[in-house]
Amino acid sequence: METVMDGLSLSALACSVPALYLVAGLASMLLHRPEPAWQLARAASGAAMLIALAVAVLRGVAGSPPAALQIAGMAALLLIAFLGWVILRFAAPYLAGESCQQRFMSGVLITLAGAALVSVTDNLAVLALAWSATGLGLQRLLTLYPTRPGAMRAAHKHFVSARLADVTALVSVVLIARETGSLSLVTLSTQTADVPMSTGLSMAALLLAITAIIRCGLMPLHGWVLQVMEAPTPVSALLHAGVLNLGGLVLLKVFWLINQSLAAQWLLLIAGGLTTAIAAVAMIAQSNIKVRLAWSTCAQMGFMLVECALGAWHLALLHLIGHSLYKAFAFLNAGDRVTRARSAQLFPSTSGAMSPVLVGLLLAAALLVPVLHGLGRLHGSGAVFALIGLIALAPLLTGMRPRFGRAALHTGMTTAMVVGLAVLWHLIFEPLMAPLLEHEPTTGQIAWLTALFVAMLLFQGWLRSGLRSRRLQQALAEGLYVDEFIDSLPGLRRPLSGARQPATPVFQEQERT
Amino acid sequence: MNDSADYADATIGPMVEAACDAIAPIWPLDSFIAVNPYWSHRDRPVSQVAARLAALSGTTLLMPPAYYREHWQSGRIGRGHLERALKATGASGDPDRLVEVLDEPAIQPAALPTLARVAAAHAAPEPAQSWPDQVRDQISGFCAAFFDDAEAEWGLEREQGLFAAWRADLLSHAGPGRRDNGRLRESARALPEDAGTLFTKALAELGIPRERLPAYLLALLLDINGWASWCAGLRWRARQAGSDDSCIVDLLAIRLAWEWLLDDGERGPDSRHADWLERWQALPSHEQTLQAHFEALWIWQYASELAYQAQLEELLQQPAPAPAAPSVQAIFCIDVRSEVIRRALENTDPAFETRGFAGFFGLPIQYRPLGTDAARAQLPGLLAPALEATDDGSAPAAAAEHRRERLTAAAHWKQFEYAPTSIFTLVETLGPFYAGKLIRRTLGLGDTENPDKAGLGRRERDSLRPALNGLAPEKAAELAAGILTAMGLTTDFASLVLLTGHGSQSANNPHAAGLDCGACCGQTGEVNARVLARLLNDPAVRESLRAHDIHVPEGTWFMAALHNTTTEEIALFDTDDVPDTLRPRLDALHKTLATAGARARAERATSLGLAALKEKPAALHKAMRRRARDWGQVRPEWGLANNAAFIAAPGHWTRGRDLAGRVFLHNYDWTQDKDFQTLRQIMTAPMVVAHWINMQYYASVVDNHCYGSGNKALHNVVGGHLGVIEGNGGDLRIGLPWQSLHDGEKLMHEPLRLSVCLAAPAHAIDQILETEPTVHDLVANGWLHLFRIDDDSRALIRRDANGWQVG
Repeated sequence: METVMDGLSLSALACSVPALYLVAGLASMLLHRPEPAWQLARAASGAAMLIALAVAVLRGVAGSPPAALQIAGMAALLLIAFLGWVILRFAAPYLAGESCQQRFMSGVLITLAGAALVSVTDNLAVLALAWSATGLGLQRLLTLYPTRPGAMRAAHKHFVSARLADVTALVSVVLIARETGSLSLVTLSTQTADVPMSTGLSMAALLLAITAIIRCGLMPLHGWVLQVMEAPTPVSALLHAGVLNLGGLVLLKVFWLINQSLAAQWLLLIAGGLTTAIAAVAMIAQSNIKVRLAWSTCAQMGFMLVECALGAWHLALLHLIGHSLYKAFAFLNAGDRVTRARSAQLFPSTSGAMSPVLVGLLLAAALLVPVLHGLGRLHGSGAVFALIGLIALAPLLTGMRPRFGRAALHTGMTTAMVVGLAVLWHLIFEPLMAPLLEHEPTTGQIAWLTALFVAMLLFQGWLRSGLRSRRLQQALAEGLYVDEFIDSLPGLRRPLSGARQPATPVFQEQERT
Repeated sequence: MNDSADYADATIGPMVEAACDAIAPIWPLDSFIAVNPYWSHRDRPVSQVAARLAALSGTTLLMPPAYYREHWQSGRIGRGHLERALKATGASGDPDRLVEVLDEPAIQPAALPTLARVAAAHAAPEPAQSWPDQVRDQISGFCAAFFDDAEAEWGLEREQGLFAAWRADLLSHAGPGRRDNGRLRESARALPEDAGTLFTKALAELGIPRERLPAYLLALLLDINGWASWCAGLRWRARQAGSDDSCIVDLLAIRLAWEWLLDDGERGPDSRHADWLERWQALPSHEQTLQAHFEALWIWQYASELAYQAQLEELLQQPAPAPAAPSVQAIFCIDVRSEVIRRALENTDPAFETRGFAGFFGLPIQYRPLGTDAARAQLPGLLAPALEATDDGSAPAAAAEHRRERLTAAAHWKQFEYAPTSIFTLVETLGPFYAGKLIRRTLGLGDTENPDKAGLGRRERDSLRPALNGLAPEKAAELAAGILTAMGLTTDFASLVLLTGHGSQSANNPHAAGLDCGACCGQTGEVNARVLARLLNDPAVRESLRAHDIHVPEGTWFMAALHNTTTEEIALFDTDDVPDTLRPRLDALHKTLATAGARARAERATSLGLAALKEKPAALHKAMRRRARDWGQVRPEWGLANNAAFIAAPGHWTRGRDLAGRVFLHNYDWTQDKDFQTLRQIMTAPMVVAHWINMQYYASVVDNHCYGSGNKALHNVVGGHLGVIEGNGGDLRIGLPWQSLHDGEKLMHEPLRLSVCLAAPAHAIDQILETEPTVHDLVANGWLHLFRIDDDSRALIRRDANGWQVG
């Protein structure tokens, strides 16, 4: 009885966070001046962060250890609340004097409410609705400057993808409810381990995977993510750090469904994997900081969904959290780019060719991974761990040339630190997510991931060797023209007349006298 | 880059060059200095230039009528001002008619259309993006990729030159395209490979009449003014270094190529081409209409400037107490922000004398941080560096070696951070630690880093100091003598002389260099101040100075200082070197600086929204410091907003007057000026720099869309340090962002042309005007107002194109 009461009151406490955000969001729209609205928004975000912290601490010190899903939910709630606090405090002076301040605040608070609800809720239907609600908040944020045609085009694209995702999510939830008779995530996660996958459930898994692919901004519907720079920087920060990764969280909450559906796994692997490879390369060909960061997000989201597909849920959660914090900082600090360029000018960076021996060794090690997995010597998550570690070592180890002296020592220490940290996080997250990690990916799936990473490693070697291809550079900088193709489809072309005329008069055709 | 284009028709070349020369240069963000965007048009009257630019690009050089109406209604512009303005410009009419004009509806100047605009008007079905926007986006995206040398690790090759690379890019674009690519790609194949052939071909086929060509070419460049200004900057800096750069010619060719591509080829009497040609034929009458339309508003603008000049004259004629013998002399930059702290210092301590001089202290140096390869100019953009300064310390070679190692390690780390294959590991190992960084930034902890000190350890940072190495004492003394003479500081030295450079402090600000010292090419004045102080304290140099008849007393010590314009603090450098005899003076100086700083902060409080803390100096200081470190703050300080005048006069003529931080103050005493050399120097260098700053602010206010950077909240840094674009695409933005001019409720910069007031005899000024064409153009064509200050009455006597005006 005690523990049930604790559980209920704790989850009530947790649910107060989205409620707090929603109330604050509505109130900020009604106030007459932006200053009191900012005070309200900042107070609400501060309180939300404290509540999220309290929930995590209280649950942690309570009697029984929390379930894996609860941990994931609490971690995500804390993350969302933290991001909300940081972004609202950043945005108050940033948007001072703008006419869109209150619309910004209400948009952010509604988005945060939706995201927080996705994190804490136990009901699948509520989850899907909250997920859609974040899309609505985001729509408001993308249209803060309705006179900018670029903003309206991006908002329109987002609208179409979001509605598509709404439909697939809805159908998926209906199917799950019909097949299992329950909408409670906890119940479903414990009971369905033994239930075989019917066609309905397979369909549901596939649709949910599609929803995640659309909502995480993976290719081919990644265009709108690249074009949200038409909204102020804090909106980009919120989108890339708080909203896009909800896809990974949702999949984690229905891990049992994904673990059992080979079709959904392969869909995620192909969409995620190709996005990872293409976006990671497109990223280094961009000439402005925000689009570069956007491509980086696409690659990271693709990779997160690949980790989900392979059943490495603890890595997916780690990735979700790590990426959020990294991207939020990168976007908010994007104005510092010039200062970094000044420091970089002091010393031209050395990007020498990677030694073929090194590349060969890493390749061989990478190719060993699926072999070892097939022989049963390596677990799925271990395989993923090994792969990304090996590939990441390539740029690190290029610094280990003896003639660089102290720099080589420094690089060696850095490599050791990176490896050590990776092991540390693995050791922390794996036991926390243990119940979810019983799924073992197939060797074919590991082989696919290996192939992608080997391709990226080879590409990096080719790039560093100084060879050039104009057409390839052009094609990859545009993400292989996928977004252009999507743009040319009917229904996504939004005619000019949709955008309102700019307030500052521009040029008009003079009437013939 | 490549050689200038060869033209089959020799007459096209000069016209192309003329159009290219008409675009003013810009500097990259890391050395952002203010440039007058109308600089190349200074040889024509401002009203004519306004009409021409309005006809060619739709820009305006005046505020909307509502602005002048507000000034009329609030009484800032009075009837008397209007009458004098009418008299001065020789226009007919009376003040009542002028007031009526303000009530007429405002007409936006409409530019003569380019073919892109014509294509847009006839496009069916309506595309998602208009043709002019598509053209601009395509060119801008390509230029960003071409000129980027810092952001993309996998960038474009530049050997072919801009035009050839653009053409290749257009042809090899394999995607379906967001444009009407089918037909376009066919025509694009017929594009010639070099710019020269394109000019000949396109201009012939488009059939533009010869007499309209210069205007048409300029209109094309103005269509992509941002990138054109960037290319003009490349050419300016190349020519300064002795070579040349023809990117701007290629850029014009690219824009012309688009015109050619969008031409539908129809040439009948009812075709759009015929209609278009007719409009261009009517350019002169179009310009005249615009000029007539703007005439009344120019008078209003003149009247608003007269209102300010009357105020200024009144201030100058105020009586002021005679100055005491100074115990401390401080040389400040002429920057308008110095005026506030100078007044605070002089009010705090009557024995404190401040002087104004160019912020680079006359040192034509570039600065190379120790152990690095990057040399940065520390002098106005108009000039080229002649000497190099680097860091000196106890063990410079060892420090350089250590620095190289650290920077190499940092470079390797950067590769790890940004390589496609390691970004996943980065996130999964270091990602969570960014929470700490986010917390620190949000709470405002941690200071802003000086990028020039990257790679140095703490002890090295404190011990290294900039110095001009390898300069013989005689040469150094010659340099020093010239500087001291120009400063007017050749006798009566105080015991402490402060050389105060200035710099700003802001976080997460792409335009940070724009808030630093323009005279030091967008850097802080620290290096120049410290180098000069070291030079002037050198006993060998002081010995050699005697030969130039400058005797610096034994007890005089020069000290370098830096004025932080954001927090109104003054920091002293190298205080350990001060002789013991001067220690008590130094302590008193610290106190004076602290008190004056508090006074200056109180004056700034209201404009920064901190009026509530005006009476609480400690809290105000803390708040302003926090603002300077706040990474979300888009208005850390107001920079040179509201600048209005330039005064070159003896110090006591302006001492103690509240000039509200709007005036560039340069010390000048004509009685000490042999052959008026210093006056000539002032009129051709500092005055022109002040004019550039004034015009940049002016242009950014009257037309922020063309000559300003737009909304800071949407800024996106291109090429790591080249410039910003607003949002996702569009042209490169030049000039100042709106947040630097407007506080959300009201305009913080009043657009006034610079009022230059010189305390010099009329004949001297006339002589310089006759022999310096640039200065003459600025005055005669109404780009600035020139006055002399009468020695006795301190009245302002105007000099315009017709000579000295009386009354």
